[in-house]
Amino acid sequence: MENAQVEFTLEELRQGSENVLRRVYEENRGKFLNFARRYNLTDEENVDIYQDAYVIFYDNVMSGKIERFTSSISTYLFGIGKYLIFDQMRKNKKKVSGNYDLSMVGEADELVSTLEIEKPALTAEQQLLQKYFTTLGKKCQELLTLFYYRGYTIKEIMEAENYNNENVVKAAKSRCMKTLRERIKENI
Amino acid sequence: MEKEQLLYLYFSKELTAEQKQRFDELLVTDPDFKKQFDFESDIQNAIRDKETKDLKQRLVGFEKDISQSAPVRRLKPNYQKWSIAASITLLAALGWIVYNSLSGPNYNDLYESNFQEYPNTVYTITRSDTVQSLERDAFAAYESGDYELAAKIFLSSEDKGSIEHSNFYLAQTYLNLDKNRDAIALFNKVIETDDEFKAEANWYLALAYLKEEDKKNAIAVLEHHIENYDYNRSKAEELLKELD
Repeated sequence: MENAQVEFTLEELRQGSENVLRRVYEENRGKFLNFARRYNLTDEENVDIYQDAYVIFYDNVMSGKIERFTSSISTYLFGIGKYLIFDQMRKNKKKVSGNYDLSMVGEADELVSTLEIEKPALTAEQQLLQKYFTTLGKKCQELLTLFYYRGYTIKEIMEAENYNNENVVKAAKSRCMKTLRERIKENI
Repeated sequence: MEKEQLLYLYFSKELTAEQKQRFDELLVTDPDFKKQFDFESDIQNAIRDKETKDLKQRLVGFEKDISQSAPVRRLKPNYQKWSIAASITLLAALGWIVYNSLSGPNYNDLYESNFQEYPNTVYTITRSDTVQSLERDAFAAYESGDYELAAKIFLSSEDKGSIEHSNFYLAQTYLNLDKNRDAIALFNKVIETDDEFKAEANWYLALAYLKEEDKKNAIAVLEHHIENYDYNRSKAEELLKELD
């Protein structure tokens, strides 16, 4: 029953529900901050880490790395958060008194090892793409975001966005990509 | 076609083992295929990065809401001033409500008393205008209050990018058509993409939340507004006091 509930939540997150996004954030925040307090970081750092953990969790839901429920949402958040806390501690090294075993960072929970935590910075091309992506029409941005970010199939996009059939979606997608390519070309 | 299909299946995570093999092969042997794959992967990364930044911003907003509803929040020295100001505005608001003998919810009144449609500052429509253009039609409809039509034209122009600031005006028409959620999404986008209308869009975003009776977000946006923009700042301050 609980599993079904979590899967439902994941699906709602994937579909971009703002309410669920906020609810999950608020539900786990207190627990996480309590847990984080044992590591000598400031409250601001802890909140910041919680947010980063949440962003990473969400991103992994979108990329399909968290697709099914294998643990509760808070387990994911704690696992990622712990990794980030150690990372932060390593950065603050001088402030940390020597009795933390930072080597355990590499052995972060098995769960977390299946996730993508750190992303490389955008390349110059990707930055350019991002810039011109935001100049596309609303429909285009939505369509491409659904496909490349939320992992919707063409069929799902057709249903969600009321297109007539899959070919229309594919054609629209090609057009959007073409526009994007052209905008970049015009401006290089 | 086969290649396109393979790419599509890859990004939908639907490649079978066999198709995956073919896919990997092509990446090595077919430079055009590789190029297209790289392009799409770049788009994916660019969108992902953008969404991630947006999300972090939203979480910062949630956090603001939480710290505001926490018990210790007001600075004492300001308390009296605030309470006086609040009572004055409250009285004014009450007076306004009584005066109009309106029975609707408070949010509506606040919205109505603060909302003023943003004038068309983009396109000058003159009577002798003989040139027909999408832009002219759109703003003519907008000015005459035919929002359905205006929205339709703004939308149709959108992909071509032929009307400057069309998103801002489209969002205005959404507000007028009570499509508040659409207006909110679009104002957010304008804030991100249209420097010229950033402040204006932020003000109307606050009003849109107000109309949605979403107090939390209305307050967050108003606070952001007061910190960052001059446009309608005093109005924003007043409105914030009434909401707080």
